[in-house]
Amino acid sequence: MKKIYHSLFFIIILWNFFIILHAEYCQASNVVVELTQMSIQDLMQVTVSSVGFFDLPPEKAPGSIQIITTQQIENSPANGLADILDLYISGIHISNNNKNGASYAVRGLRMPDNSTTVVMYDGQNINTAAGLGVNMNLDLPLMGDISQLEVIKGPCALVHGSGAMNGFVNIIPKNGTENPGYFYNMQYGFKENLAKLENAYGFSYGHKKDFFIYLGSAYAEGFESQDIYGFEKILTNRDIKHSYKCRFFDPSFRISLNWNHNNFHVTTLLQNDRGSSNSKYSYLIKPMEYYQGMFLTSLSWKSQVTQFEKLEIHIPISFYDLGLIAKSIDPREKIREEGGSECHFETRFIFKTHRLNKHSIAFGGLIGYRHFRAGDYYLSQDPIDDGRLLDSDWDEFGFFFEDVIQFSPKWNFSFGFRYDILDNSEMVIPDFINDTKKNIDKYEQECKNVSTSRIAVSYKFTPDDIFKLSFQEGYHQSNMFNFYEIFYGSMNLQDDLKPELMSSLEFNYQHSEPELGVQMGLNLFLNAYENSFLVETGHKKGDMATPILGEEDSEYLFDDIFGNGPSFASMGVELDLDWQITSNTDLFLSYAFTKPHNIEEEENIRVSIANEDCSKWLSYPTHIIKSAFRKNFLNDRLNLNLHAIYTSSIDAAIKESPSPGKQKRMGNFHKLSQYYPPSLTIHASMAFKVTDQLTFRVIGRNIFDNDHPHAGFHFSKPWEGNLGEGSPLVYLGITWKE
Amino acid sequence: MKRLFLITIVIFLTVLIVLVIDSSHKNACSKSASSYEIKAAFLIKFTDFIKWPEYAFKKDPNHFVFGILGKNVFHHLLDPFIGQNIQGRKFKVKHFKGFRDLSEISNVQMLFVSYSEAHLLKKIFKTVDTRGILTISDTPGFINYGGTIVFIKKGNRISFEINRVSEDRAGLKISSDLLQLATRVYRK
Repeated sequence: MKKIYHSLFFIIILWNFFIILHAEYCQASNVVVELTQMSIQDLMQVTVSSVGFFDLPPEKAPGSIQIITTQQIENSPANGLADILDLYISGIHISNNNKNGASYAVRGLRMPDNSTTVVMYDGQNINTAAGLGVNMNLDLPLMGDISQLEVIKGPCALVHGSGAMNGFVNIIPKNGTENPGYFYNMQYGFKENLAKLENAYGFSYGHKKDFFIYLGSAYAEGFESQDIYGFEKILTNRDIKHSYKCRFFDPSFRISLNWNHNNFHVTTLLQNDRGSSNSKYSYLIKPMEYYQGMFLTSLSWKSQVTQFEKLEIHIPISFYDLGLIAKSIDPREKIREEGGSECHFETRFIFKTHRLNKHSIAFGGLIGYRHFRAGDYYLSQDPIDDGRLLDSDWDEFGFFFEDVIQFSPKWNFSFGFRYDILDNSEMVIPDFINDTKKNIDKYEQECKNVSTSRIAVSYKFTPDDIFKLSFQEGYHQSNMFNFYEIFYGSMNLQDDLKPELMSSLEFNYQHSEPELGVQMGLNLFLNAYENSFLVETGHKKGDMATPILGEEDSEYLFDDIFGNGPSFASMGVELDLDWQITSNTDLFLSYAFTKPHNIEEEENIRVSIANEDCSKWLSYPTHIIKSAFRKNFLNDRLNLNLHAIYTSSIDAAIKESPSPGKQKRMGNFHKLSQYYPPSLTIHASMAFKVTDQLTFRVIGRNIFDNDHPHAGFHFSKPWEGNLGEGSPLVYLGITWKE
Repeated sequence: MKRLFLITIVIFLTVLIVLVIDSSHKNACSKSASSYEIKAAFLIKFTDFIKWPEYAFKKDPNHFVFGILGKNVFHHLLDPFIGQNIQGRKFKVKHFKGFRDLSEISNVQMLFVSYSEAHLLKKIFKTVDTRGILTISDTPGFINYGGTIVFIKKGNRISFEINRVSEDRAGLKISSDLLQLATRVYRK
């Protein structure tokens, strides 16, 4: 079967190259001349191809799509990508993970490592598959190369395959045509001694010929923690004093290149993020440090092959490192560093055609190869403990098809399906797995086939009102969950896991009042989850975490976190209001409500992010209100931004104690009943343009000093890695833009 | 499974054949282009909705001149229109490389101010006599300095705003149809 796939893809790739050659010889029609044949109204609907992922305008594309512009990014009091998403996107709750940095929750669902949301850089997936899958560097405070962000909150496996359960975040880099000249930015953060430097240069040397190169680095010393902001909730040994928020050690940096040359496009990204995990453990002298490194380079070719056909070919290659460094309070123990790395090669093609009247058809395929290696890095010196060397490979194949039918200028209908094959190579069980427990030499996951679909309809009943209804599916395959175990010190391997699945029914209504400058949006959604990894395994006796190579009892905390858990549902509503009050005053308001719902018959299985009867979230506020106010003064020279985020309390009393096995493993186990007070955080920024090139900027985060830790990590210790700041954080910046 | 796979391939091939055979229909669905291709098309389309005063063509009644001030961000995109009839005159493109060429800016009907000149907007509007000239740019704040039309990026599409005060100052008449389509119309 695998041979057939390989042969088929070989044929497809050959066919693509034939089309490329053919296209090079074809007389390309002048796009501008074609565009001038359209009416102004239609011209306003044409999407900027180099910017967005979608061919459909966002209001017609299925689901809820939000776009954050350069101005919003530059003017906000955000210090990183995670902050931006927290400030502007309704229904997204950002906190901190106890190992991987920023934690991203959407519509109630929070995975500890963000693995159910695809993060992309210029359309290329930058999630690693290590463990359950990790999104990298969301809190790296370097955003000078970001032009805009596209955020979708519902599932979209049709386009992005595994991992796109809770939508995606696409980071669109700046290009040299729209951002010519030099750019310098410096920022200093007072409390944590943050020093940030950014340099960039954009240049255009012809039509569709430009490049934008960026280099940014950040370092922060951090500051001393106060136990009242979270630690007393999780730590019994309060004698330990240490700086918890030592983030972004030198050298945390980001280098990117965005190069366009006619139909060719090259994207390169190199990131290195070393920081503190913020999490205290009684057996560690200081919080674990994390290391996340990545290198991505992608060659794309996009061409209008004929008047009606377009072809895109993408060849991304990426390398990832992921590590954790821990130092025990016992001076006899050495510093322990464990890490792994991954490389990913992919070839993807998308063929789009408008040849059939009223149809916009896209289909494509991908072939990918991933290699994972525990105990080794690609981009840094290998981890100290490299005795756990371990390799695995797997192949990915996918086909997708979508047809968007424009029945009338008002009605749009689309349907599409995708078929993915994930084929893991067998893994040789390494010798470090205790020989007495080792009962097999080879470990094999079965080849998985996943089909997903999307059906959507949109109706524009007036120029200012549009309804959308969509049914979409998403899935997430955790190829490397067993390596994750080994990664964090376990010697047990678990049974194979099925992909977790999600189906979503979403209704959207968008209304605009152009005269008033008002745009409103309403989203209603019903999500259903199947085979979820978010299972409270400690509550089920027997086979939830059956180790194939060892006993259930283990000294390691995370031995039993993986399993295919229950089915459950969530439902919610989101309201957005964008109001351009005057030419220099904007207001943004959003409200999000969501709650879980139990649809599981098996009583012993519980969702780890909800309470016993699955009626309340344990790590996500039921109500979230966000607002942003922008005002320009002095002929746009002075810009003021004020942001407020309100999150309702989380009150989830849990009557039942965890299983005895779990209690035994968790020595300083705390009560699972949780109450998190409501929170209101205010952030502000002010920018003053001294000249047209030079801008001074002041950022104040948590300015009313009323922050407290967010709830985040869901395994019994939701405070881990989430610590209140206790006092405002002030940053001063200076920007020079040619 | 194998059967499903084969069916999928057959469907793909069928669709391909249908697409190749049926080429009689024009595109009715959405389209995408680079931002300056879209802006160039807008510039040409605008000429259908704007009336220039007669004195705008006093020096050269035979040509409709489009000027680009600063970096030529359109490169050769407007070349297919050169020599074509626009407003009853032959279309012509003139490139003014920078501030030093400001004194030469006369006898143009449309002036696009490039991003590269963003820091000189105040000086440009002080120096250039904009009577009879439609000033356009994609630089934020262009309208505040006295520009007439500014392109803005709304999501992943291009839209525009119009300043009626500058329109009056320039002696232009922008049709109500275009005003209705503008994302925002400034009246003071």
